[in-house]
Amino acid sequence: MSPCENIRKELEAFLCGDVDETQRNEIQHHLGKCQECSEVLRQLEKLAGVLQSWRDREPSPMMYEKLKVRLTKPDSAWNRIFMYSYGKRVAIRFAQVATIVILTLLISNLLQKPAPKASENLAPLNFYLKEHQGAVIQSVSAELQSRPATRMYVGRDNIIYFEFMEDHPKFSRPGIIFKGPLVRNNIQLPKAPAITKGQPLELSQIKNAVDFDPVIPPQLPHDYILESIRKIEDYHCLHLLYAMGMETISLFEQPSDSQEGLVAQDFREFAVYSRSGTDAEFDKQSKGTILSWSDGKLSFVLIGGKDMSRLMEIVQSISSTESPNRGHPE
Amino acid sequence: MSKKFFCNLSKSHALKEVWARPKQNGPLRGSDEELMLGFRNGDERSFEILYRRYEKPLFNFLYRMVVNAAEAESLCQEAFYRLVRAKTNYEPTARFKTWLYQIAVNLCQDRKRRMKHRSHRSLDSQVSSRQNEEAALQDFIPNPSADLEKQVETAELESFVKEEISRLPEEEKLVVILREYQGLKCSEIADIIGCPIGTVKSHNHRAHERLRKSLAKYLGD
Repeated sequence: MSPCENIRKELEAFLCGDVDETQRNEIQHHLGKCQECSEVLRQLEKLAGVLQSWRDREPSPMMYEKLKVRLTKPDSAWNRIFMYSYGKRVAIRFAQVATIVILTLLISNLLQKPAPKASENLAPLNFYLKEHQGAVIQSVSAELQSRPATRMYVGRDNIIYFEFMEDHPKFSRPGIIFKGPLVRNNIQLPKAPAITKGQPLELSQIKNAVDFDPVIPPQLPHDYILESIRKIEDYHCLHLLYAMGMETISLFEQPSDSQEGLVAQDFREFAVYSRSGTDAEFDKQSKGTILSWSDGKLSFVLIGGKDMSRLMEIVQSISSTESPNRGHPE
Repeated sequence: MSKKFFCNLSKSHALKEVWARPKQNGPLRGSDEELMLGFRNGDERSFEILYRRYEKPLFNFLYRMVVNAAEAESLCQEAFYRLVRAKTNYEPTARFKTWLYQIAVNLCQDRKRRMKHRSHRSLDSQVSSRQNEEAALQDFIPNPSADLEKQVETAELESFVKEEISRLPEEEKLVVILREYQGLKCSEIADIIGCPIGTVKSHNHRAHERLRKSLAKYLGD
């Protein structure tokens, strides 16, 4: 920037006396030797005069009156809100309240007990889902009909209601009313325990086949004979099959603490599953009662077409015997 | 501003007297800051003195900024209104004049922002504009007692100056008006606008250069 440009930037301030002593001397010195800057200064002097031709106006006398009226009028709510001082107070009060609310929420969240793990309360449901997966899947598939079969992943929060139901024509099943989204994927039907497989055993071979003392029911309905004893493949579980003509009674036994096969805790109390339906063929083949229980050491499942009272007699006779020689084969 | 203040303001006999009192042409005592402190402490008379002191300069500053008398009056009234409402926040650390002009500059900027969002002119602004034009025409009406030709020339020059200043960029216009018509120093303008003195000087220099060129025909001998 040339010295002239620097000086010209200050010329207007120089005219008004808005420069310090040093600057004034410097400008005066420059003006003494620079004709062009002197001309600019002259023009600026004249410009100041020309600008003053835009004269002042007198404000309306009513302005004072209007202000007076406005000041004596009560203020509107909106004006109060937007007024700086009032707004500031309101903002501070709001911030205080908001802080208290946030702190309360944070503290309550910290003090809140963690939600119990899903697995803790899911034993009955897990049992149901595991042991009856096939029935559930078939049931769902039958209801969905045209849709492809799906596997449902159900969490505790998805269950609204849970009870045993017998309203389905083909499958007696615990009824579950679900809520929430169900993730449906293609499924493969689980393999049912192969209870019909396994090598038939003689009574003398039983002790060698399993590592527990089997119990032979001392009391059976009339004319029932022990048809076979099998060890279910891949399970520490014995299947005792009694038959009278076409009618059968099955007794399954396994150690209560067995890590294989059915879960021991599922047999800690009596559970009754009865099958019924309107389908005549189905009734004929599959109608029956299932009892399951545990005596602490062994878990039992009794399945038979007889009525409940007859099966209960078998259960009582088994419970009254003592291992290892609790009963005698008939 | 508390409700109590307004109640006191409206009920105060002293204030009613002040409002009713005709303009005093005598010298106004006390510095602006002293008067404002007095007003903050409840002396309404101090406010009247301040109002009388700054009514005309502030109105003319706003008039030159918006080039519309009616709008300038409205903004001027608003500036004093805000001053009254914010009196409890006033601290004598700031110059009263600077504070008042800050309020006025903020009002001008608010107005400009509002105008930006308007794609059309309101009926009011048309009326105001017409009033303004009428006012401008009145400037051309000669006074029989004066030199007719000179009056016409003066009115023409005024109109020309008004137009040229209005054409300046907003920052330059603000600095020139505060400098040339309000007689403020660069440091005071810097305080009002909230920018460095160097920036104020640059705006001022550029504005004067533009005006020197556009008004060149009036600057010759």
